[in-house]
Amino acid sequence: MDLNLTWVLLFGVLIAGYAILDGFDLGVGVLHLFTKDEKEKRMNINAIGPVWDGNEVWLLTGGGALFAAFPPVYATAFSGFYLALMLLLAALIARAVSMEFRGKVDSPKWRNIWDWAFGLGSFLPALLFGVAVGNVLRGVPIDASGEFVGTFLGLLNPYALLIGVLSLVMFTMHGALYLVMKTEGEQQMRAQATAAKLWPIFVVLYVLATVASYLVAPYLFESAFLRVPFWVCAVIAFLGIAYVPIAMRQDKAFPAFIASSSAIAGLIGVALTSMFPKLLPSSVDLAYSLTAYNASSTPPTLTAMLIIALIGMPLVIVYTFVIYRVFKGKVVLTPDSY
Amino acid sequence: LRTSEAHSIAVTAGEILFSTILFTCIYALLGSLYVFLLVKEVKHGVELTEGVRV
Repeated sequence: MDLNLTWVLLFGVLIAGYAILDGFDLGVGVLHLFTKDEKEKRMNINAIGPVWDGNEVWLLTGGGALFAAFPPVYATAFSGFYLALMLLLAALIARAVSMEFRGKVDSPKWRNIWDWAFGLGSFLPALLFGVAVGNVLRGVPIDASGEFVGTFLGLLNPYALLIGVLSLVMFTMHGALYLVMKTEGEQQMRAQATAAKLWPIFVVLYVLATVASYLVAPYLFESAFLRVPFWVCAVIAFLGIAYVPIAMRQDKAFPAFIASSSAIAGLIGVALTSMFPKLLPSSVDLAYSLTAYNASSTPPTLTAMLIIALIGMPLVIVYTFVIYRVFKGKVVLTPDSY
Repeated sequence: LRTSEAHSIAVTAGEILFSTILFTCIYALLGSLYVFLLVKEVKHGVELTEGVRV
């Protein structure tokens, strides 16, 4: 395994980690739009309160890894997706402050404003994640010099929006499964019913997305089937998706959540292994695509970063486990809660 | 490397203007909310528990 491949793998781990972790708290935010009862609304926020910001850091590290390991990919993608990323930042800011501000003034009107900020600030990132993945898979207009030559509206094409709806439904289901673990009574039953309703929609959307990918980006299907890592990811995704309803029927909340986590990780793996070595395909001419080999940093940079990552990543994994252990179990509301 | 040589070609001046206005508004709003809440908390005063003398 060469250095470039190692860094694609690490980047994949970071993005999959982000999708699994922030995925459920974005999902809880989307479900918040449909929550009516005040106590349940507070349960939503307190269920993710101690962990959501740590989860979002995975996106930052993913962006950081891309910046350091594959600078041209970072430059082209972040310039090309400029307005979309500004929109994403505005949504993430609204969502972050809504959780803090919501309980600070005892007025229904005040709380209502922050409920919308929290809900929409979660809805938008959940949708945009898929829109971004969709555009990357489909390929973005990149010219021979590696410059993005498309427009913001061009990013909102039907295929990318389809993948956006897929990620929205996937994260919302994932969030509902998280709430099943963290809540009790009526709210728990409702979260379970929501997840059960979203699962078939997710499966249909996934099948549609696969067919659409074949039509829009046939290059994805050229050599993927010959690759062992592709099949490993595909099997993980398939087992995860298939096990969600089985675990739910047996009231196994944690295994159901693990199953949807593997589904998310598996699907991201499938996307990445189908694209490899392309990281940002060009829709102008596939030959202009930025790949793990024509758009990487130098071997000494990649080596130095690898050493840092090998020290840093175990630390992150350990503290993540510690935090989730500290806050395990059902949410209990106190006057000091959000 | 000058700014004029280093900026993103794909990002237009209009987009930069848009994001500058966007962030100015966001931070102005958050700043005012912060002052509003701070003043409110200060006026509210400290919750005194038994046994504490001021």
